[in-house]
Amino acid sequence: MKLLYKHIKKDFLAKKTMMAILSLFLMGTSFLYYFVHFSVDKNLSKYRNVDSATLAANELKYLTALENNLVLIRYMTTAMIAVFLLIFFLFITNTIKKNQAKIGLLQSLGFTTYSIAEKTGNFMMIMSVISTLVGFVAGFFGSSILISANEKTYMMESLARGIRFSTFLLPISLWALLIFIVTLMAYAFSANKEVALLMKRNDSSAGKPGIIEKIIGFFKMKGGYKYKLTLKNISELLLIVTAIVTFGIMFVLSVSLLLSSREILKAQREGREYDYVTYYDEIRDSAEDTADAADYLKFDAVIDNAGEKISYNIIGIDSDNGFFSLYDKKHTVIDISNEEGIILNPELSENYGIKVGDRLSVEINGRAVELEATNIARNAGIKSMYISKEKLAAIMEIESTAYNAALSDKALDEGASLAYEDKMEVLSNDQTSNKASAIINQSIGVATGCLLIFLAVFIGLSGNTESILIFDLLGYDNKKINRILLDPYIIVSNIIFFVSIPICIFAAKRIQISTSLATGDYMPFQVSGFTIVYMFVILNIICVLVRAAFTGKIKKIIEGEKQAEYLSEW
Amino acid sequence: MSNTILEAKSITKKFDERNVLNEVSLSVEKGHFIAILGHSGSGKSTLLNVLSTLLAPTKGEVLYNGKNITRYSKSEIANLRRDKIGFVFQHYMLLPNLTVRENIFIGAEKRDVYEKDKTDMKELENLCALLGIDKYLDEYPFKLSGGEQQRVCIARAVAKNPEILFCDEATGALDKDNSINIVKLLHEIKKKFGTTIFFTTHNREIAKTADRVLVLEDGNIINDYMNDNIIDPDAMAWGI
Repeated sequence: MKLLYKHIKKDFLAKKTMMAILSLFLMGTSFLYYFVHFSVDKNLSKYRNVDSATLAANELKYLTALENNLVLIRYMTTAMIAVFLLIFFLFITNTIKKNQAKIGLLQSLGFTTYSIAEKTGNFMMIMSVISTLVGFVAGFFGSSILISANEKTYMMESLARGIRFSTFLLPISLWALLIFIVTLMAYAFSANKEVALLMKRNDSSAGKPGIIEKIIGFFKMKGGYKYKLTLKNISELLLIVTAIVTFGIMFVLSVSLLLSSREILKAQREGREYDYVTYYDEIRDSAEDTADAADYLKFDAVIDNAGEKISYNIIGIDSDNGFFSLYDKKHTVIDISNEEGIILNPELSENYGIKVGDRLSVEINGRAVELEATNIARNAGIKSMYISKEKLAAIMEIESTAYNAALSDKALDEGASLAYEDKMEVLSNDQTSNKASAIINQSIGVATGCLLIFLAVFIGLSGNTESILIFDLLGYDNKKINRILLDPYIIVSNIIFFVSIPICIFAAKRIQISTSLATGDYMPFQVSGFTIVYMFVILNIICVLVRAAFTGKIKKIIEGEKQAEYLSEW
Repeated sequence: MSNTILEAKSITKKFDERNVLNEVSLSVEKGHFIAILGHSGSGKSTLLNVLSTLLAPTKGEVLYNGKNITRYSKSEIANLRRDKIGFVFQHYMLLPNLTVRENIFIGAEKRDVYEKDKTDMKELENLCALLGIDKYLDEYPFKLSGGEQQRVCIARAVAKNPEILFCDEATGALDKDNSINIVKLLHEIKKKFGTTIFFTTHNREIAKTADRVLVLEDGNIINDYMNDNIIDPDAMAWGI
């Protein structure tokens, strides 16, 4: 069995590009996992064991951020490993198909399909453990970035770096086990033929047109033969679809997360002309009003959204306050005083699906009321919704001139005044820290997405090696060969890209919303034409790089005049 | 005690509803060299594959030493291939990433004899010397000529001392001299180890060296005879 293992190991190690990319993908995922856990585990267990009542405000915020990071990394690693396993499955099935004569030979020598699969699985498990450990070491060092960012953001001192043993062990063992199982499954699906048919490298169904050929035949495409030649393998096509969709989702999500912080900060500046916000402990009368200030009402509210309780603030303010205006999605000023119902925060419509016209059950300081949503304000404050001051006062059964907060351009003598710039700085810190790990995760996600595309296109092009060498032996020049056998793959990649854009955007939006709901942070989904242009450019750069790498490999065979040798290799 | 090593009872093999073998029956005695003659598409390779467990018959039974191997489980068949059956293929099928020595060892690896027993190791070296490949043991297959690679393939098959050797067009990719040498070697192996040998070919001269000849056409045995005038491989009139 040693020689069987040696053969399998050498065979897979010879597929340098593919093995390197698979390893890098695992390293990247492992890095993300350990990088977050090294920064979180020890600190989280420390703060979880302390009575939350004794924690300072910054410590509480830090505790929430740690928990958010854990949720994010759980989502992220699960998604990445799921994608990896799919790609890995396709890679193994593809390799089995190409090596089926060798597998047949090994079976003729008395090895069972299981023993061959088991040895392959063992090798892959070793590759997985090594890659995961490399990610572990990188994650250990990388975690200092997140730890120092947290120290600065939350004004914490000497945060610890550490990981629980079970957290350390989980990916090393679980990923290796999953890889082993997927390897066995791939063999069960692909090598389950009679030995003689495996050794012939084809069977009685080989001459029958496949799904792709049938589709091309159905559409009677001009130059369809090129696509029949290049896309003969459905699993290769599936691989590239998966790679492009994964890359697309990661990219859209990454850009959206990056832009959402900026968008939130921008929205919080829009329509605001004041320098200070002042809060009072009790409701005051207008007689106590201060000149050059706009008073308003602010209460805690809980929205009952089909049984789900959403904690919010409700703000009652007049339109002509002179300091603050709300804008709708078309950038038109909303006349708050004349709105019949409440003006929603975009978070409520995007994340919770509440629409204009819906009637909401809201509990304001213990008073249950039903209010209709009449508008959405793009620049609503964080966790705030709006209503005319008069209506809110009526609900709360207080004088319409009463108030418990004020906007002004200078600090007021009474109440707790907070400078607007200080408030924005806190917000900015929160935005950065809450998304720091998310953005790092997504960026690595994009990098691994690029690797996936490289892998998928490379596998696709490699599937054409035989055809290329046959065309070369038939006397076709390189340009013509490339046009027939390589260019269709690039064209197909671009078609898949354009077709998959809506799917990627939809999936990225759903992921961002569920992350937003899990963390409790509103992250407005952001996508623009530039995002798509960047993706298109990156995809085509990758395609050009793969094409160059692949033609280099072919050139070596042709220049060494080894075409016949390659083609006769069983 | 019966001298029959392999028996086929009414074997039919279909591919896509097309009969490649039609109700073929035969019985083979130990130590015979059997040539299966036939044109391309006659069903000779299919018959060889069914007899050697590389294909399962659609109908019928194959008995090895009286045991119905068509009912064997996958692991029982694997054990049979590992311990009792050797294969020589037209295109050698050597693993390019293993040395010649390793390619030979892998054929007998499951028995572990070559890692444990020096005597067996000596036997293997003798076998390689007999096949004329002893000086290439640490080379990789790509450095060897076609004839040499075929001899490595034979060594791999014979290393486990099989009871039956199945050779599918074993000289099909070789020139005259190499083909003659391979046929001679196979006869020597038969003589030395008492191995039963099946050899598919379309070459009537090779068939003249066999103990028994089966002639196939359209999936039927149209002729089955014992050779009265077995010729020496050196006496084969090549050039057909």
